[in-house]
Amino acid sequence: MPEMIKGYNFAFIDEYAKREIRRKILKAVSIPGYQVPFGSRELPIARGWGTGGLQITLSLIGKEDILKVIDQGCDDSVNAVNIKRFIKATTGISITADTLKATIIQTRHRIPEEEMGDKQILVFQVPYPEPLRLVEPQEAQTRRMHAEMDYAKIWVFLYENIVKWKEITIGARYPVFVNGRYIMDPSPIPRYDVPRLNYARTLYLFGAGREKRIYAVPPFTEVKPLEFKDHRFRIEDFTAKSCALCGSKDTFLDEIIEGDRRIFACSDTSFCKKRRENPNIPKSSVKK
Amino acid sequence: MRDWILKVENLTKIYGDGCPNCLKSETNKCSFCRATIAVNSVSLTLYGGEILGIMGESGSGKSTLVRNLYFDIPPTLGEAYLNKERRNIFELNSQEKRKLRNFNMGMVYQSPYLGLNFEITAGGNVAEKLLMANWRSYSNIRRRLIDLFEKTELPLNRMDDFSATLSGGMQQRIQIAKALANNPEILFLDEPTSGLDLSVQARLLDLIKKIQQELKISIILVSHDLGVIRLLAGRVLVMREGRIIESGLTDQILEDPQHPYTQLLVNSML
Repeated sequence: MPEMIKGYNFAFIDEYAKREIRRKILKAVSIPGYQVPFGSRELPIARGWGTGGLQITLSLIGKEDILKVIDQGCDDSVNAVNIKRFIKATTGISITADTLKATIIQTRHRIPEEEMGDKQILVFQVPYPEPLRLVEPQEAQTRRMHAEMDYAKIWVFLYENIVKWKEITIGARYPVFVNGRYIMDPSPIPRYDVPRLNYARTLYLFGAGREKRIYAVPPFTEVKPLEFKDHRFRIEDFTAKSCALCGSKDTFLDEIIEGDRRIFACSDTSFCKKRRENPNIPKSSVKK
Repeated sequence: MRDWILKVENLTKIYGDGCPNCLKSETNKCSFCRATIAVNSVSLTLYGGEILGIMGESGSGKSTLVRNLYFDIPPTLGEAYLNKERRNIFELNSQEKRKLRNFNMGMVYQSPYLGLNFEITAGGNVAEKLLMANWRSYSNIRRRLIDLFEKTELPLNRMDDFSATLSGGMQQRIQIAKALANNPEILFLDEPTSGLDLSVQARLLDLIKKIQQELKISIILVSHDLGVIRLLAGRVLVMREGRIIESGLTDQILEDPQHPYTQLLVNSML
């Protein structure tokens, strides 16, 4: 990690911009699932590479914070490493790979396996904040549809999925209904992570830098995947599969092709490492 | 006297800025401000279970009138009341309007392009109305679709075909099935049979008649075709230049028209 660079404000963006973003975050938290427009700033990384999540992280971060950044569960992929290096260089705060030690976790397309607590914040990087974009190309229309709760079009999409394929074919980005009011795009997390949004203890913040939207799921908020009574939402099936490295059977697995062999391994690398040291470590250490 | 279902008072639709003289205008073009008065101070009452015909030449404001009532186009002036909704329905917010549109009204447009989404299946178009009304069981939706397709004499094996691949007559039937999906009280039919060949027209008219008798639905039927009006409507309004110039029982109007324009219209019948 490089030394802290001089000449920039703490956490790179200026205080007025941070204040605006914090205000938008407050609004997003007050209206769960509602997309709040914000003035997305220029950053030294290109839009579409996590700038929405990054701006939320930079606006919230303080000198005491401990940061973790993951990219599809992995702490060491290029995107995650670059974001960590950038934040470290402009704040000097400490970085960790341990989910339970971090105060803020920025993530691309995964929720960490270990259950997070109520003192932590999970920041999602979002490519497409609009769940209705699938069925309606015009922004003016989708905003009206949200305002009037006119969600029939996306339901017709699900209906036709069942007509054609006998099931709903959306993999990642499965649309969810938040707090009985807004349909929300949970970012491209796998289906496996969708039920973990429901009544979670942690504050979930979503930032889309290119699309200039912030939204949120506050702690203990109802988040339900869209489903029919007789065609229930279901998560990815990992029956009879386990992690080739740590042997876990209860985690989200990545499929890896090695030569002519298919193996599976935990997508959450830091938790996989913990399990290799102690196979009995539970996913939830929260006392209920 | 039967109960009224829909009461419209002084409905006016002006395209353009409009001026105080517009409403006095004889034609639908205001001679002072050049605004177009598509519908000019129309009042009407629709009673339970009746078919009210609206006839007139093209450009007389028939379609604008029903589209005002179905909330497709906001009117400039005027009020409308539903029997159970005693507030002026034009003053409701957009969510309440949407609800009335979904639950209390059905619409069949002259062109299926206005009423159907061609990017989805025939069944999907009808299911949209059910899904709007929070139907959340796939098998119940399918059962209701089969029911509606049978009622409107649509072939069940075309249910999952894209609407664009169906014939014009079938597309009009999909529109009717869609309009009937939530058992509305009022059905607006805007030239439902124009552009169809005679045999298909006849079957569609039979179907409308049958549905009306079976479901006791109130219908406003817009048509320039006097044959269609004579066959279906019990009462009729004649529109010209945005105004209602004559109204009465269909037989009375067609056999003994009073207004010179209506006389001309009836005499022009083939």
